[in-house]
Amino acid sequence: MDDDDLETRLRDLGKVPVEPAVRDRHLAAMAAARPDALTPAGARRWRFGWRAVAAAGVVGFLAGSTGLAAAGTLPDPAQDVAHDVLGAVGINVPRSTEGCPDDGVYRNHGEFVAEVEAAGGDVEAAARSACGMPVRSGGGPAGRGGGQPAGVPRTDADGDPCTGPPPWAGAHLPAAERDALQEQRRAQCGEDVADAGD
Amino acid sequence: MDPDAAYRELSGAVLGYLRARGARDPEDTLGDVFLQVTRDLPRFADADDPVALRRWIFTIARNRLIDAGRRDRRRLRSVRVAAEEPMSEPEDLPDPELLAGLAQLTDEQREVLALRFVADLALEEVSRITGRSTGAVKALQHRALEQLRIAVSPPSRRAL
Repeated sequence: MDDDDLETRLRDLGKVPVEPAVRDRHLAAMAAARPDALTPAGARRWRFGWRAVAAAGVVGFLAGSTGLAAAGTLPDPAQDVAHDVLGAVGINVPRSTEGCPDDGVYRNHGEFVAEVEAAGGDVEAAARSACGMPVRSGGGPAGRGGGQPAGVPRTDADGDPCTGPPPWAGAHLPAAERDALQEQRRAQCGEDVADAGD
Repeated sequence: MDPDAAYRELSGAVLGYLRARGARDPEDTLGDVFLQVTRDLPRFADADDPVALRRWIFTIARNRLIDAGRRDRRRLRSVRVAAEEPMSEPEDLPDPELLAGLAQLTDEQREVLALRFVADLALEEVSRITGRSTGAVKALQHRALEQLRIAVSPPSRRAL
């Protein structure tokens, strides 16, 4: 027997068909094992992996937050944080409207004062207002002297007007106005307290 | 190509390959091979390339045999008598003389002959599946055919 005969016999070994009963059994098992057959109808497998879902969630959250910030509808402290953070990446969103007349929206305190001046309004009152100043959580407008208008009797975190810094602290007030505020505080809180903050 | 079409086209060759390699239960192993093909075909990138598909399916069959060989060795270690396990009846098998001759070869020789001729794969494909150079496959094939020829020759002719 030569090698050609052997090769032919070997090739013939691979041409013997599978018995019909065995073939049917195999095909039925294969049909049951198909990935789409393993998934119940109406409960398709996730098309995307968890990373894609997480990324989509983050992108959606950022887009939603940016949209709310752009519309100026976030809570005041969050609105100011959004203004600072998004401003750093070139996205202009307004500051909060706290302290502004008619809930007007200004990029900053300077813009508000400039607008009042341009309209011929009371510039000094505008300068003392908190409009356009950043709002920090847990308190009023931040900034010089707490950002509260100078000369306005302020209350501390506990609501007591006699504790915390006096109304004239940090404010450059005319002597007469300062004396009036001290007198007011003395009447309200007593001698010792009125002298504090000098 | 879908799994059913692959089965219709290649199941005979895979079954012959498994028989030539001396699989304990070739028909069950054939079913296992095509179950894996069914599960993994959607992820197989070259499903439309007949040569790549053929090579992939025979690689699965080869890996199944390697797994079965490991299981058999564990079974032998656990003191079970392999001879007691039912084998296919000789009269059920095509060309029993040739299969008996193949059983006398080394496993490497049997593998090369089964992939080259029963599975009808080119030298390069056998080289890729077995991880041997084409030269090594060629040499193994030559020696295997020589051994097989001796093994299947009638005793009277062997003496000549």
